[in-house]
Amino acid sequence: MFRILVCIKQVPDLDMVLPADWRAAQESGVYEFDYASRVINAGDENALELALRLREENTESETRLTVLTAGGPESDRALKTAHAVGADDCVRISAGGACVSDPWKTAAILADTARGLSEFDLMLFGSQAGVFDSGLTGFFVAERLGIPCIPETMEVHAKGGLLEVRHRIDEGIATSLVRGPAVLLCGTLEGVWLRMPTLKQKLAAKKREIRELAVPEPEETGGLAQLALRVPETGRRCVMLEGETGEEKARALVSWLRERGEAL
Amino acid sequence: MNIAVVGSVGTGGQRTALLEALTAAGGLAGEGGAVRVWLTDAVEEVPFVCGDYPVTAVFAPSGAADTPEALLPYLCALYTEHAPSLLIFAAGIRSRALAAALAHRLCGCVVQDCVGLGCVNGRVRLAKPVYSGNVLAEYEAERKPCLAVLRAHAFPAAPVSAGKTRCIRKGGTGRAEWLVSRSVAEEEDAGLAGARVIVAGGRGLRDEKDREMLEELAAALNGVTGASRPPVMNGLMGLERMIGQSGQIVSPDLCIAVGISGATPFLAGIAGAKTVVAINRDPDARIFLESDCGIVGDFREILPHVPVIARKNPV
Repeated sequence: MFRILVCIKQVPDLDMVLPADWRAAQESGVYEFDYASRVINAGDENALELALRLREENTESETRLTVLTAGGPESDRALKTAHAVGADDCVRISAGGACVSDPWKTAAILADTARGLSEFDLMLFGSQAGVFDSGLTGFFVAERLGIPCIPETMEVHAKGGLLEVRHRIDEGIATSLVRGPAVLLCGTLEGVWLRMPTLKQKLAAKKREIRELAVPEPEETGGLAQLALRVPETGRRCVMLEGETGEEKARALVSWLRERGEAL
Repeated sequence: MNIAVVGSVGTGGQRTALLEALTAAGGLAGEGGAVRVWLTDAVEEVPFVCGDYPVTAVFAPSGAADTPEALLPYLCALYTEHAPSLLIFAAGIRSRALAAALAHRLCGCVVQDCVGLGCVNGRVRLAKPVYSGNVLAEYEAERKPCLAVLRAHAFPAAPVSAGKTRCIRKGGTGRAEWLVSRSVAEEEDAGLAGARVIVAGGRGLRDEKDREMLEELAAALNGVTGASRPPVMNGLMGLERMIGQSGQIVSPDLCIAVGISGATPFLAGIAGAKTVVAINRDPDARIFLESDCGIVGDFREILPHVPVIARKNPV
């Protein structure tokens, strides 16, 4: 049996938040946007898709895919999506609200949970999750479990009991043959997005059980005190160029660029 | 404050990132403080970029890939020897992995994508973008050591100066048992890093014809093309061209954003551009709030005229 764990996080779709609401949030100090849909973090979606593709192509052994998240009952929505696209098993770990905003704590509960589940060959994460964008959880989990962590993963295949991982490094694109278990982190990938579940799959997912594990909140923290949040200003003021036709607009653009010293 | 700067000199991009980290360190060390440079690639000689700072190079044993496992024991040993309060990592993939693992092993604290560093009452303060770049968070380090991985181009690069100090090389013996083999291919370079002009396309790009239109304009401006996330995800443009929080952070003189709505991760990628021009059909697109010049309209009706008009009306 080849076992894959995918860790996902449900986040607000921050692309939906209006610029004025960020400034309002800065004034009120409350960064909550009820109208923004709750979605699976983009990198985590890619991680899930890579896992699904790996399961499909892995003819060497039976593959089982478990999806984990740390959070309250509101996170079940993300897990239902995971069920709908094909996860075999979904687990929600509830350990108090602070766990989801401190990567040190999140990593502690994810690593402990992973250890408690049956042995796995591969653990996949998004590189970083919206909201606090720490970019640390996957690395910390790997450290806790004493297994390697490969960031910037682009592809993963099962090959003769090993993992063939295509990933970006500072010097180029590496293809590494890896003995599992390993943690892989995914960011944005070319030509990869999470498949859309069909209506039938969505309905079926509603009936699937989500396992809930309650664990105590870890005491240790990441050692960072948040002092302030502020909305940065770019200081740009936009000059709108007008024109009746595309050609007139192009002419206005050429003049504007030349005034700014562009050699055109 | 005693500071260690951790980085590499293997490629041009890594050298620039190291020079940026040296700027950050130089501004914080203060009187009586020391800056040391720990290089994580095998160098034969004192790298000319590191000025007067003492340099130690740690590197993987010959034949072993430079995995974190090969380097971490030496970085831990260097930390025990010099005990810097702050470790500044040059921007890069290796840095992200090393800093996170090292912070965990040393039970310190760590911030990725750091864009600001300071010190108040002996405590390190760090700024980093959160909420996909919509908000800047300021943190104070409650534990030592504090590790900060810089975001590319968040600090200006320090001037290159001749190295005068000796370089101590520490070769590792740790081999990563998990790694059976590794081959490395050079990544296609879209030339975004040093580009003076970038013509970037977004969700508005429908097909290859649209992409070619951008390429023609880029050629006329002696620039290169880039992309926001959607054209990369749908395979229209390569990942090496992606600009943004999870792509490349660029700092061209001119960026023309075509059919890009202005999602924050993209805006974070072009924050360093001197001039931003936006062309979008939606007059309410957020990109206009973050641009110096905007045109509402279909880029397909505008862009092809630009090189023609420029040619017909020489300056």
